[in-house]
Amino acid sequence: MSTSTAIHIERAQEFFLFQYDFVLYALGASVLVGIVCGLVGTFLVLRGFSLLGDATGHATLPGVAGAFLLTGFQHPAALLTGALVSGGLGALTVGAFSRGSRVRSDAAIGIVLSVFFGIGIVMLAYIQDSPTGRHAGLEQFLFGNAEAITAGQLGVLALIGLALCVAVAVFYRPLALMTFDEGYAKSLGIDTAKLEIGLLFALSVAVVISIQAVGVILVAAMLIIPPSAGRFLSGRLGGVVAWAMVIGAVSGAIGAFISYVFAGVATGPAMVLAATFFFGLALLFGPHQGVLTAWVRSRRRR
Amino acid sequence: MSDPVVEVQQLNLSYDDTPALSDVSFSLPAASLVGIVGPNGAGKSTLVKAIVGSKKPDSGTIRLFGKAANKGRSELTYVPQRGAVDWDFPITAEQVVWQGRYQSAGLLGRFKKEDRQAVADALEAVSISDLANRQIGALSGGQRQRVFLARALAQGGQLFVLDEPFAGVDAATESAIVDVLRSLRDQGKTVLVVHHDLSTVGEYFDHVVLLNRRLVACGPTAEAFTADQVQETYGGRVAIFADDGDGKLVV
Repeated sequence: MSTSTAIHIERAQEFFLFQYDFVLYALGASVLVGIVCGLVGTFLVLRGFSLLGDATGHATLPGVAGAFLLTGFQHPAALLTGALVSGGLGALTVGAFSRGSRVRSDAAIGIVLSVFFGIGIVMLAYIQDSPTGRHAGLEQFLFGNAEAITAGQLGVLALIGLALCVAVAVFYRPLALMTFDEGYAKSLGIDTAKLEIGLLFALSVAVVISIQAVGVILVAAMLIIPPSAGRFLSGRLGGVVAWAMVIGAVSGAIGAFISYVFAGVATGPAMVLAATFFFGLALLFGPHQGVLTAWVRSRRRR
Repeated sequence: MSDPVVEVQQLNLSYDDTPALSDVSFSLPAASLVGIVGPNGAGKSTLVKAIVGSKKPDSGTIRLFGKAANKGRSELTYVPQRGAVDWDFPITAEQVVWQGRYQSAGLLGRFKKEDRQAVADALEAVSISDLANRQIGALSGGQRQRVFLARALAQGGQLFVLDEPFAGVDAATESAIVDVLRSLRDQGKTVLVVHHDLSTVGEYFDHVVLLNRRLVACGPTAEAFTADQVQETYGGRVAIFADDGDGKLVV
């Protein structure tokens, strides 16, 4: 047995023994990402706004960098607030463009994503050049580092995540109506413009509490992939939401594990790979339009 | 006499700089089956969207049941165009019909026995009880239209507004829908239908609104749906073959 395999096995054992608290926090944060992104992402995917999550994720970077520049150190609350402000601004900008007819929404998403991310990268370069910034470790926000999360941070993230889940549960009926049939929702007196802003806000919050673990670049994958898998697994909105949250949570856990066992693998990519694996299974074997399922059914009919 | 069910005054609505409706005024009485008729791009759907509150007019007023539109809308039930929704959405036929009960149940309210009854009755009324658990994506065009109508029946109300319910449906569905609409009218409700097929206007509707960006005519079908008015609405692009004596047009 090679030494590197031995090291990986040893680290896998450590992970499951939860010898170190930070492993537990990393696991919690990653599972949380899967849950909130699966929930909010389902509504985005079904509304045809998948890439809005991508724009919002990238748009948080200037906020993170700006908060660091203002406070001078890595204060979690400041970073979260900064991320929320710039991410929310990005999401609202796309929303405003899409309602008008001057810029198509796919172009609006492309513009917001690249402009905000570009600004963020420039600010990051500036910070890394400064003496205090060199060790700030802000680059971990690019791909995510769940192991850097403290108990206090995890507590705050979990509370915000819980509030988000409750809010979505309370507004589940109008959200479902708006997502399926906006004209009918309006005829019932539902203020869909406000509801949509609420959904964009929920998206921003989900992204902000996720970026530490999954990173700004890949957070969109956790918003899009689990709900897309869920569509193959259930023919009902509630079922798709449930599957998306379960697949998101399990992918988060697997991502935290892989990232711990293989030093140097960031949490974000590991999580996304796990989610993609489940998406592949759902795509092939899902009872609703799964590729192999549909093929078997059509053969039987013959 | 009581207030008109729908009263539209000097309605103007445009998309960007293109006017869709200009200076449209009319009123509709209760217990009538009304067809909104006009060529493509005449603003029929736009008018309906303004009435149901999904498009904001640039100017003008809409009153429903003698009240400001946003108050009167609690008695209004809308059946959008079939093309307006994503039929791959993960939802069953019955769940779409349940949406008709969302408003009365509120955000978190539990559904009661009468809700279940209303949904079952609505499915029955359009003869799709056997399709209740089917995915909507697996339904035919006619079946989808029945699901939409069932949702409206489950919701109830005094004014039903349907946008192109007969577009692309089979003949059996068309006559089933007409039967349901007539029975609503006979219960004293007002039914407003965006309609495309001139040949059935005389047969289906008591009342017509002829529209081509502006109002051409509005009134009982026998008076308003005349050869001259139809020609005017369609800019002389229809061939009217006969005026068969009893005032009915053959188009």
